[in-house]
This record gives sequence, structure tokens and C-alpha cells, in this order.
Amino acid sequence: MDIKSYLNSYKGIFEVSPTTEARNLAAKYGYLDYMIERYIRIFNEVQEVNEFLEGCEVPLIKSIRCNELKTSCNELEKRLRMKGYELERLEWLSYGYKVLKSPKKPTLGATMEYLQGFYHIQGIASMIPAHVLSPSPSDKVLDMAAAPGSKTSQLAQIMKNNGVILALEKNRERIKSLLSNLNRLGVTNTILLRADSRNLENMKIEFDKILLDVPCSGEGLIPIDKTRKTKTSIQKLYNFSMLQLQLIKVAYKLLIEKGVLVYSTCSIGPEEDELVVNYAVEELGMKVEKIERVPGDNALTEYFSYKFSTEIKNCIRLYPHKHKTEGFFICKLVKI
Amino acid sequence: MQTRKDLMLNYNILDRNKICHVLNNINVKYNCNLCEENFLKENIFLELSGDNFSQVFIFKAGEFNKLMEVLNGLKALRYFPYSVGMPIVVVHERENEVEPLIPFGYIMLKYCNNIFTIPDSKHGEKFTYGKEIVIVNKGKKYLPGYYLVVSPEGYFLGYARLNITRQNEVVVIPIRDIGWYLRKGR
Repeated sequence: MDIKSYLNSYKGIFEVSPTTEARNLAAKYGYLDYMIERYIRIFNEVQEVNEFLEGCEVPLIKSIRCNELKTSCNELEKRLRMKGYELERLEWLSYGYKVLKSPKKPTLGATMEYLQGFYHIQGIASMIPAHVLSPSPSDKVLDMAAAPGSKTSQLAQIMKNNGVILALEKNRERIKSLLSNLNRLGVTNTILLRADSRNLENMKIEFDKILLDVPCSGEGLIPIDKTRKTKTSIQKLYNFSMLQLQLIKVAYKLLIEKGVLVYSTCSIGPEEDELVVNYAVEELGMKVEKIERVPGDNALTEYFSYKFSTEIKNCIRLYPHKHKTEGFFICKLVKI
Repeated sequence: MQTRKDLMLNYNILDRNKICHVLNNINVKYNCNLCEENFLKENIFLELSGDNFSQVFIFKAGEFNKLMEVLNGLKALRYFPYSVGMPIVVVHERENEVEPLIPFGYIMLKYCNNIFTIPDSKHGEKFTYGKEIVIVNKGKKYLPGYYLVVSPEGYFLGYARLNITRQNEVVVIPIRDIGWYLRKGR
């Protein structure tokens, strides 16, 4: 089925009629009405919707990724502690840290250690996709939407700067900050290309691993950026779904047989998450592999009156109120 | 598609003679031996050319086949990379000038002799704000010239020109420093 027909077969998902309850909550918290109606469908109970909305009002704990390409994590811990920072290592990632306490000066983005590239400021959930993809030092990896480079540089760190990463970014300004971050962090195994990933469809080479952290509504970033409460209309959400479906189709084409694709978004919208991955499973024949040993709830297999492939429950969702991270969706897919 | 302004038009792999020719300017300025055997053997040197300038990048020699496979795949689609591996120098063709870039500083420390250690972190921080600093020199004698500047712990902070006053003070004039990542890099 082509992408347009696929989306058409789920068009009810994009026809949301907010209830009075949704409208009241939207007015109280400053969201678009349709967004709240969707949250009621996602969580299935108003109590949890309230908890989620309250969770989005609380600032997230800061976090950093120690960059082992440039320093040892023990050395970094020692140096930041001397500056008045209090760090706590993540249970599931040896080089990820919560920043429990910071001095007034220098700020996290202005320390000498930051400039030296000893660490990168990165959200906890955003450390999961590269960790799940886990490329080997001999892999050829494609990062289809790379700016600002947090995940690209994490991939390089996991690969110990071996192998090759092809990282794409189509925006001229964003690719500059991407390059700057890669340089600061000492990444040396990456080819940067300023282009739309969809234009690689006819490329004659295949990749062992692909990271597709798609452009999205950023609905999961509301705790950090309140403008996201009203930024995305339902039409824009539809456009994002269309783009994401096009991208996942290209990713599938460029992936080697038995290769792994990690699809992720900083959105909790099933339109950008389960709906897209469901296309990869049902239309492209990909297989979902269970993600283990990282925080997250099972993904949805039902939304409004639609059912997705049951495999999709093996993808994960993260929420500010439950996991104390940005809202995120991550799915590990294998080409068979 | 890429637009004209930052479009790289071509890339070449530089052989030993060519890269040593490019790096010679830096060897002289910073008193280095960048044509050292291991450095040349461990890296592939790629020159990406635009309209008025070119940049040289290094990539691990051990990954040559994978690198070329990807570059050739892109070339077939008429795409040229924005960057490849680590950028080391920019070559301004009109001025016939070769400038080392910040990431290269970490490597140059191994091969260069003109290294100036800032004695305290306060001056080190000031240097990374792109500010000129004056150090009362009590130890090693320095000659005026181009230097790699490092922190008291030996970490690369940037490139500078050193002047020595009659009172034997060292004036450190920044050329490029790692504070660029904060000021311009975001």
C-alpha cells in the first residue's frame, strides 16, 4: 500500500472532536483542545492525563553524557565535583549522568570541561536511541536527521570513532551547530551531508545500522519548551506523519538484510510513533525487537478505534510524569 | 539540494607529497613535524574544495574502503559531503595561507614544539574568551612567534601569537581558541 493510502486508512486518527472534559483541561493548562483529547485516548483515564499535564509543568532534571572519546568518566566526575556539581550515574548507562546540583557559575554549557568536549548536555531519554542501536566499531551507520549531533556523537562514542557514520541534516544553520558539536566532542568517523534524507532513496549502498530520529512535533518537549502546547495543529501533525512515513520507507530501502533500524521521536503522539512503526511492520515486513534494560512503558497497540500490530508493544514510550524525562518514543526494528 | 554558498564542489585524496606541502606552512610557523611517518600512515587526507577556499580533513586510514564506498555512493547521486572526519586546516587560496583549525590542535600537540602553557586557570579562562592576556614570565624563556596554548593540565586551549615585552612579560594574542564553540559554534 502506498503511504497516502495507508494514511487514508487511518484518517479517523486525524479527526479529533474534543470533549468538554478535554476543552476544560486544555483551557486550564494552555493546550490546544485536540491535544488533550488525544491524551485522554492515550492514557485511557483522566487521572493519568492530569498527572501527565502536571508533570509537564515541572522542569526536567538536567543530564549530561560523559564523552569517552575525550576523557574517562571518573576524571570528569572528579573535575565537575571540584566545581560544585553533584552528579548521579544512570543505572542503565555507564556514561550518562543526572546533574543533581549545579553551582551558580560556571553554567553547564560554559565550563572548561564542556569546551574541551569532555561531556555533552543531553536529555536522558535522548541517550536511549543510540544506546539501543548499539553499532559495532566495524559498522556502516546512517543517521538520517542528525542535528544537533547529540545522538551522532553518541554513536561515534559507542563505535570508538571506528567504522563510518553518514549523518544528514538538510538545514544550513543546523548543520553548522552539528559540525561544531562533532568537532568539540572529537568525532572523527563521520561524513556530514547537507541534504534531505528522502533524496538518498536511490543510493546504491546499504547500511548495517540506521538511526532515524525523525523531525517531529516535539510534543514530548513541553516541559522544556512551553510553546509546544500550541505549536502543532492537527493538519501539521498529519504532515509530520506523512514525512515520517516517507523517511522510514527510505530507511528500510537503505538497510542491509538483518540490519537494525532504531526509530525515535521526541513526541508522545501515536500519529508520529505507533502509526509510523506499524507501517514498517505491516507494509514493509519489518520485525520489532523488544527493547530491554532501559526505562519506558510498552507502546500502544490500540488508539481511538484502530488496532496496530501487537509487536508494537515492544517499542517504548517515556513520559515526564512517570520517567522524569522528556516525552519520547523509541522502537527497534529489524529488516527480514 | 545543497545551495551554492556552502557547496563543496569536489574532493581529492592528498598523497604524502601534497599533504606535506600543505602542512609545511604550519610546520614552519608552529615548529612542528607534521610529516611524521605515523601521522601520515594512520590517516587519509581529503581536500574538499569550494569556490575560494578548501579544507583538509583526516579520516582513519583503516576505514578507507568503507569511506570510499559511502563517498562514491553519494557522488553517484551528485552529492558532495559537507565535511568528512575531522577538519584540520583551511587553505585560503588567494592569500596562499594555511590555517590550522581547533580540532587539529589536539593532534598538533604531539608533533609541535611551540607550546605555551598558561600557568593558571584564571588566565586560561580569559584566553578562551578570546581575550589577550599578559603573563609575567618567571620560568621558561619564550621567543616571539606562533604557539599552541595549553592549560596548566596540558589541555589544548587554542592558537596564539606571542610577543615578549622588554620586561620579559609574555603577551598572548589569541588567533583561535576553544571558546569559539560557545561564542559561535551553536
